[in-house]
Amino acid sequence: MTISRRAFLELSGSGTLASALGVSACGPDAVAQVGGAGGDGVVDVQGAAPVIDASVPSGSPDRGGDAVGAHLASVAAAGVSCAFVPVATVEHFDAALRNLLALYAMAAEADWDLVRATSQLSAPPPGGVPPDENNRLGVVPTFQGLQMVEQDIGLIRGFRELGVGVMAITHNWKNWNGDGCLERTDLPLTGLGRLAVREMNAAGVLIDLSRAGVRTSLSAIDESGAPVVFTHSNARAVHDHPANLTAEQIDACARRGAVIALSAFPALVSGRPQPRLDDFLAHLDHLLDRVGPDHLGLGLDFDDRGRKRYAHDPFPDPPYAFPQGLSAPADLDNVREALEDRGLSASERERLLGGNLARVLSEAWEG
Amino acid sequence: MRVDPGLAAEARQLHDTLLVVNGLDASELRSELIPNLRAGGVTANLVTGLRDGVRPLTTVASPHLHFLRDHADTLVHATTVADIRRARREGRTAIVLGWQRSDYVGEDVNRLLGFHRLGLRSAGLVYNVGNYVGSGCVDPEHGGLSHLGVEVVRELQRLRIVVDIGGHCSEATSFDALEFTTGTVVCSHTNPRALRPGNPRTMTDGLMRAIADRGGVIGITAFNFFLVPFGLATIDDFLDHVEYVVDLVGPKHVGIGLDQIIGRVVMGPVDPRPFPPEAYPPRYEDWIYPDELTDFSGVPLITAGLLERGHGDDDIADIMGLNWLRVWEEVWGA
Repeated sequence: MTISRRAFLELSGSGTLASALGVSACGPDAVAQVGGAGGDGVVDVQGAAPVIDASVPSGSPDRGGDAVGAHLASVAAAGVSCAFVPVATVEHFDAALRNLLALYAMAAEADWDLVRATSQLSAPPPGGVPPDENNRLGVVPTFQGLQMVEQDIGLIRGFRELGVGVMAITHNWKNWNGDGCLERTDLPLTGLGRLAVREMNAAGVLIDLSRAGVRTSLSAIDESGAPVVFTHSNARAVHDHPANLTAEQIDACARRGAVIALSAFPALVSGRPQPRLDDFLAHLDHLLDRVGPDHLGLGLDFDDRGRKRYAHDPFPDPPYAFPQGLSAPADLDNVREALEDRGLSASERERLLGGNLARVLSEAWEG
Repeated sequence: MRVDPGLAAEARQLHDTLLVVNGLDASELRSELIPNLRAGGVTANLVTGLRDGVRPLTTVASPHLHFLRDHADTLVHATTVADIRRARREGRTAIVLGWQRSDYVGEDVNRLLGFHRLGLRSAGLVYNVGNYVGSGCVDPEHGGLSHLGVEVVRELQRLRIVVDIGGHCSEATSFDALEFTTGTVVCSHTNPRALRPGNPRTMTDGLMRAIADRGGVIGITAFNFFLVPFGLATIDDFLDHVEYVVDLVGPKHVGIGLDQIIGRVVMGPVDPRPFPPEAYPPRYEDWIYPDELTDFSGVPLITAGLLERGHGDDDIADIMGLNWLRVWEEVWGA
């Protein structure tokens, strides 16, 4: 099932786009229908915070359905109740839509739930129960760039209606909206980029600035009426990499209520061939020290695909050696332990493991 | 412009001996355009083609290629200067296909080879607003080429496609393109900033000199709002712009790039994102040209005006077309 770009634009906003594609509608209009509790079979655990991984890069069909399923199952088994799953990065409209619908087909088979409203976000079951029908994973499809939209920012609303709840303004490189973090230039948002930010605000999309350039991200933080997220970024002060965040970006996040989700991706953790858990925790400590626990989350990004587009890109080729002690979803327990060791309260730990991300999702989606 | 009848006759006689080339046309490629080009004595016209509307060409079902095939009795799809000369000999009109933006390649610069094979012979980089390649002339802040942009200009040169900078591109992106290329580059259609200050779509003296220093040509548009800030421009305003650039960089580096929109009937408000009011009139009704240059039939009056202003026949021949042929031959090869 697919649809032309023109029909997509015409149907979006009419409430019929989602049904035309055989999926359930999302976005501000759909929230009311979902209601406050439960919905789509997800148990709403009042008072308990969800555990969210803001970067679970496995949605690309080139990995094959089985690999995606296995990966998401291991994420769920690690006690993650909600995964942000990128379905497109530099893909154009047709491919992005195809990937999104492919994710839904997989979700239907695996009993994952599309997260349509933050009231659906559930806490994970106690004790790390293995995945079964009682351990359902909430999935938030995301875009890591806006190549699929190009200049047609009207398409943003349609993709939101189809469930894409988080969108990045650009990914690593320059596009219509602004500069990426690996670019030759470091300009603020373009005029179109400013409009795209406002359109994402209006459509109830959480804006991801992880791979935007420094000035593009700073201007987007300023322009956005809702807090933003960095779904997989660490601190440059700890490891100097263009995809990590400067002090100015970090402080702007804190000032505007944004959340930085820390990444285990080795090139962003340290300069070692294989980083250690402590290297990852150095980013956590730096950020706790600078902005406190209310602006942090996790976006572990266990991605094994190559990221180079140009020979000079500052990413090594796969295979990647993820940090010792943080090399797979199950190692989330080591992070939990480290949070306890640091003397964070139960409530602070909950916020850091997902509560903060749930807050920015709620502010972006439901206002 | 009032031309005395004697001069008009002399001008028409001269005009008919010229090989007239328009360095950029934004008109619809329609049948009506062909007799109009002939009436104006235009032998070669570079049109914006090989795209689907404003989108990258997603299939090879190019309407432009079909049009050229269907009108092969009167048109030549020119990919060499020899094709243009042949069109002249055979009394046909040469159409050259070009782009005004290069982000049509998407994220894969290798697509340029395919577009070259379809006949792409000239490529602008950025159309007013920043894209994957670089920044545009109306962006809030200007910057250089992106990594993709560097690859694009290098590949364009390798394929011997004309690199068309300035005008719609920001000057920072244009100077960056000069940095990453060698040899001749052009600006297909712009106007001097010195005569139209405050309009970001116009070009500084510095960039015009830089293009001329590299052997290139600057095409002058007849778009009313680039000629004058308000009111109706005349062909004299257009000639003032041509003469300003001739004085600045010499007659070997100036051409016409009229940028008319013949047959494109659009009314109502303009999208202010790519067309902000400081650069373009906010309503399409005001996207106009001096009366005489609303279509191609008035092109001989440019020749007449240059003659009247005392330019020599050789300079007029260069400005009206031979400069474009020279740089196209340099870039495309013989």
